[in-house]
Amino acid sequence: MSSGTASEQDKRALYWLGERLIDYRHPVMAVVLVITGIFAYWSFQLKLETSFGDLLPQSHPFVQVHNKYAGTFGGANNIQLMVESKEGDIFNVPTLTRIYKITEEMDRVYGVNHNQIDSIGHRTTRYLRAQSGGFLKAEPVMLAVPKTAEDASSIRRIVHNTESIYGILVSLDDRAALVRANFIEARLDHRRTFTEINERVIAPFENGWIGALIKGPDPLHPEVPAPAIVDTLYRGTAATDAGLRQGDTIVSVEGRPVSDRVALAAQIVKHPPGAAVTLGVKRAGGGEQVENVKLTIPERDVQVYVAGEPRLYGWVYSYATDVFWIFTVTWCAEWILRWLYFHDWRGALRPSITGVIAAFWGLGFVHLIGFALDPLILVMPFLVSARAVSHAIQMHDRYYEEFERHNWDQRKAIVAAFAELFVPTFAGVITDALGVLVIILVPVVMLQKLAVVISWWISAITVSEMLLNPIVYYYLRAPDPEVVLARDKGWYKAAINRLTDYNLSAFGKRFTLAFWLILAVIGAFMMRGLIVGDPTSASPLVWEDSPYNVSHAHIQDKFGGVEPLIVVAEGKDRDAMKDPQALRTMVKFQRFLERDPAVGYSFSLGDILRSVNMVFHELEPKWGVIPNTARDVGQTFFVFFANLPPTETSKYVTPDYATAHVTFFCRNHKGDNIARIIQRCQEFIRDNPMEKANFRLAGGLIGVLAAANEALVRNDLLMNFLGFFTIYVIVLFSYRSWAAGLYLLAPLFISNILINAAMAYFGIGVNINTLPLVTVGVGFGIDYGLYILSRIIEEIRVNGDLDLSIREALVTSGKAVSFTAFCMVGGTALWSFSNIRFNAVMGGLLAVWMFVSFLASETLLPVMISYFRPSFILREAARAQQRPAVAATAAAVS
Amino acid sequence: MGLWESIAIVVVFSIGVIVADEIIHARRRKRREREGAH
Repeated sequence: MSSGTASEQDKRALYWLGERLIDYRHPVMAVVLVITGIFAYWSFQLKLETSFGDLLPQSHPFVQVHNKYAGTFGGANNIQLMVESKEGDIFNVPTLTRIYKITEEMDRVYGVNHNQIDSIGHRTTRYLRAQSGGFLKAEPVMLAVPKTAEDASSIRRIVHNTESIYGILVSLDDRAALVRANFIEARLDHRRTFTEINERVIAPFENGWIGALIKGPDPLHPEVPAPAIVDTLYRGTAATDAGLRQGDTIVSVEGRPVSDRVALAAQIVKHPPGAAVTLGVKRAGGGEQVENVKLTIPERDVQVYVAGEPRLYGWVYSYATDVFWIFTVTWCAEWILRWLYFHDWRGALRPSITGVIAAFWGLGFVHLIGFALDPLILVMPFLVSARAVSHAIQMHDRYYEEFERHNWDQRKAIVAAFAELFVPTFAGVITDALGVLVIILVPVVMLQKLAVVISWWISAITVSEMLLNPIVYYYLRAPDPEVVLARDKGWYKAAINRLTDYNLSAFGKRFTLAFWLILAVIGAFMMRGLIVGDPTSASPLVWEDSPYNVSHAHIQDKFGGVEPLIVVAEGKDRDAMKDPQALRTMVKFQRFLERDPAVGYSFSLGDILRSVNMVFHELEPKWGVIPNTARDVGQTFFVFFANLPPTETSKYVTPDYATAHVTFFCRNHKGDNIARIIQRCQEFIRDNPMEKANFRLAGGLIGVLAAANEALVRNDLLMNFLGFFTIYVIVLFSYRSWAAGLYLLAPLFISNILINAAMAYFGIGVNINTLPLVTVGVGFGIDYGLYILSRIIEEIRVNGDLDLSIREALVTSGKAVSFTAFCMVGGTALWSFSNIRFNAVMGGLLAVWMFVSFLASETLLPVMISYFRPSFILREAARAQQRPAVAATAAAVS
Repeated sequence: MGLWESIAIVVVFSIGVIVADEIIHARRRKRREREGAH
């Protein structure tokens, strides 16, 4: 057991500081509380938000191309909505009407780029119609809802004869139609988009459909209320069976008033198919009298599936409230654990104060710098708070130890605990803070903001944990001595003693070394399977059976590929896109890349030319070629684009015909597929130069993901290196030893190997969201070792015996470290139950990481020190020999 | 569960633990005092 007297000599300044903090406790507390109050106020102003641009490496050439052309040719934020008929095809009046209306409603969703909607129900989706006199005209497929079966048949004929629609916007089996909408990045509001699509686009036409078209708001006067008036009735549906008539106004469902189409659908979807509901109906021309009408809720006859990045984030936001129940359960569970460990409510409360103050400082700072929380990094605040709590547990444990040592003198115990743990706590906090700060080097704005915020948050622990600690203890009544003594009597202490003895026995040491060596070798072998990017076609952000991934899989199955890779053909001069050689190269590029199994289909300006040429020649496929001269190309373009406004043509080609694009619709965004597709693109571009234009990679979801993956490959190793290097340098200065860092980093290195192996095994790719968590894990793992090593040095300064010091450190600080580790693991492991798969997986992985780091620090580190007997520790033993009198006193006290 | 419900639950729970702990310790003290008196 260490001597307070000997340590006091070494740490005079810290003991003095502890005393002064208690002397000036009122003013210090007041200042901290005022600042905390301000930060707390800001914390409650925080919002959950994701800025798409912040997720991208803005300096990457792909992202620059994406930024330049996203507004014209389409970006990465597409929503794909598929309407699938459950029985029969879509070419009937009720289904086509709904596709038209769904498209219309999609066009009204906030943030949609109105000129970048692809659907047979949208004005920009056109086909070529031969007119009298041999003229051809590009006309919208649907200008209004079809009225008759002949109208529906006519639409079927058009679809089947238009290469750019059949198989692309209508499935080859005629049973599904696709509505694709691109969103303006600056106007992305995931929550609003999600709600609007659910309420306005899906519900009224899918499970809220009663077999009648209900009038919506007037597009020219959307602010004018639009009651739920029956516009059109379809034969043989629930609406006609119920006796509804055209012009009727539905005012209530089961007595609940409905104001419009959206409200009506919201009420209808609450009832299962087959249920009978009572509608309150004002009959057309019947005045204000409300008549009750019985309606049987129909089975769904169409199914709507929605996928795409904005939709995915919408789901993520809808699941973000998981954070509250996870927080509640974690808080309560940790209170119980701490209460059981310390046998006293102060032991449960004190770490919570540290955690809450640090959280307010951290979250308030997030708001202060104008940053919003991303739902995908919600595990991070938990981890940082758990770290704050774990430092507090160490301090509280030491306070009790010193309380006993100082004969139940509260003030002396508080000061001694503060002074003795100052170095390891401060080193731990600084290591964590700087370890995280290295993330700032990754050229991704979100990660840079995250690095600053988390680093600040961790630094705030110095205030809540170190500055306030002596003060809070002084304010709280001292615990009963029996409570303090009880800590040394329980089964937990006995288990720690037994495990320590076993670990430090001759066999235990050999076993420990062999165990970690074998584990490291297996881990190193397994981590070869770690990949960059997403490892599966399903989104890793949500679970595989989540509604989003189910929809995504259905759409991919039906349409082959919906995730765009946009390769821009940037002309050197105007009219470059009229050059036949450039156009033929673009078509050749399409055929080349379509051979890749991950590419579903593609589209370019060349396709328009080929289809126009075919229409000129009675749809003979052999005429689907690019004309031979620029003049013929220009004339063909004129035929197609002559009566279109520039806002519509610009999604194909810039108004000066200088620049166009080739878009490949890929089946998924698996990391290895993206890497291969980009490599093939680069090969083709290298081997097929164009005279008047250059291909530029790459926009669309696949393009920006390729950029993100490349940035990750470059930065992942760098992050790991800098994380370890930073820790090494801090340890070097803390212990004034070159070797100390090696001893402390060995357990972390193995933890890092094992966690990478686990990621490879569970199919978790390194992506922009996992990168910070991995780096944070490296930083946080060091703390366990710091506490144990500091205690060994502290002990050897008193008793001069290395093995005795190691044992003493493990049964005192090591015991607190083990409890801390369980709290840390508990603080993150509950995330495994989150609906957000990403958070669940990362929470689980971090829990494993914390556990492996703890286990390695508690077993491997002491065994290594015992085996190799490092001089930076042994030299401290000499100081004990210089103070025989002090050591003797210490022995007597213990 | 929303933010405020969550905060309410953890506050009530924590107060509950503190009160329960004080009651347990008060009983122990009383028992000790009784045993000391005997």
